[in-house]
Amino acid sequence: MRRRKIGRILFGASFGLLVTFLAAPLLIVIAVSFTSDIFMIFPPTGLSLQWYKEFLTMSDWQEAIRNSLIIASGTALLSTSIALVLSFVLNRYDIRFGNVIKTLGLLPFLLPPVIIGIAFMAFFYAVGFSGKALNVIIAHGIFYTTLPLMLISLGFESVNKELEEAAMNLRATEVKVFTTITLPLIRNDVFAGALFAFILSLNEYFIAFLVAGFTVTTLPIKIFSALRYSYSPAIAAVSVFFILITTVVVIAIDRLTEGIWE
Amino acid sequence: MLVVFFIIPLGMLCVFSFYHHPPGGFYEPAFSFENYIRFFTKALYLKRMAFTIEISALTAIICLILGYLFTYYLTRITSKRRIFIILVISTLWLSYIIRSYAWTVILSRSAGISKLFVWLGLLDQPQSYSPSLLAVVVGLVYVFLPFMILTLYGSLKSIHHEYEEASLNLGAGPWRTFWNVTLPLSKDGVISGSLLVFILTMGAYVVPSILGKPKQWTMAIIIGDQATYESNVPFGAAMALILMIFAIVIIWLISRLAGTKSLSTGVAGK
Repeated sequence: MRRRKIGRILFGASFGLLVTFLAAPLLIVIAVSFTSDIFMIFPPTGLSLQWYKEFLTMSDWQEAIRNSLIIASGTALLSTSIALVLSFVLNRYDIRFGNVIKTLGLLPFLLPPVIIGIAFMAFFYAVGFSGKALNVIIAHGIFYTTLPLMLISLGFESVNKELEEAAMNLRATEVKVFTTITLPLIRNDVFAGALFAFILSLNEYFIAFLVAGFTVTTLPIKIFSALRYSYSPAIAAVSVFFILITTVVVIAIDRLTEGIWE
Repeated sequence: MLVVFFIIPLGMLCVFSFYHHPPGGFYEPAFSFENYIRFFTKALYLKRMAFTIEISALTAIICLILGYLFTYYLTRITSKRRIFIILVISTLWLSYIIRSYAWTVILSRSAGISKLFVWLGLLDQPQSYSPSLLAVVVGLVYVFLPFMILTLYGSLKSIHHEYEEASLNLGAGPWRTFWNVTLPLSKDGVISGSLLVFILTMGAYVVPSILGKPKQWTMAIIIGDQATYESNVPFGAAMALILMIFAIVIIWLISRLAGTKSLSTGVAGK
């Protein structure tokens, strides 16, 4: 009995260590971002907001923020639109692709980004298309369509068909049924899907770099090139911005889908 | 429709891999195997491919051990489980760049863990652990562990505690129960989680380039450099295809050996 108790304590301790392993890097970045030193020193000798000021006022960081937000919003819009149309069609014609769609949702993780990046690079060269930021939106938008597609399809499946039929019987047109009955019922799934695409695009580096890296600077591209020259605490301040946005979006998706990850 | 969106760029990848790259130029349409021959005859590229496969296997094994420990505990606690899941998911979506950057801070001389070691009396002088092979492995495990945890979570959560209790009541010790009951029941999750991490590491670019030296560069870095700095898209395309084929063959072999019905059933969790 005592041996089992020791085992349980060791088990709990290793869980605690792993939680530390997951959280510590982020906590240290947060701590470094508030330093008043010019270099990265831990523990910081004093506190200041100077690096946040630099991040928010320097024009090259501002441009990167702007590009990233435009691209991530464009990606969210494009991939959610494609996903909405596709899952509507799949649902209408009662094609049960349940498992196929679930697998598709994982495609962005299963295909190495380097392959997708080079593939889109070749594609854009071949068709002679170079809209710079638009290139990234198209590549991201298509690549990340699968996640909203998975969520919205599941949303469609959970819609009670009788509600739609009742509206139809009351002589509502198909468009009206969709906008007043179906859409409000799957609204949360659509938003969650859009947020998914947004957050993935915002954090993505490699595809964006391959497709438009030398002409458009997104935040990850800017951080990556900044890392080559210096380890300025400004990067920590930018990272905190990412950590905040990502956590907020993750919690928002969790709420919208009522605990998709449980 | 979606398939078409993916097929067209992948088809272009295929076409480009046979194109010719004139010295000092960009690319010209051709049908030659020069890019493939170049890859399979140069020791440099073969060595990078071998290294990529080795480090992917290593990362998958470490992630499996740590991930299993974490997830097993997670499925056995009832309170605050959601907080831990949100922690895992938040780190999962956070850019690889920022997570690698965080490790350069931890492994650095001025702000890192070596200062803690000095304080504890384990080291005389703070030192830097990055860039190095160790830093690359730690970074890869860190960024891909959440994928392992989420995959295992679905399969460990569905195991009924009654089975384990029955085994314990019949006199089997905790270890024996684990090996004979819990582990076999979570086999699908173990295999899909390991394959997922393996594949992710095969394509890893950011972590090895921030935390590693050229000696630890993976195929993705070599491919990316060819396509951008060397402006040799055809050779990059050929190597990207070779990487994809290697990954698919290895996955197919492992899932055949392990006898899982399909990768998707496990990876998709529920």
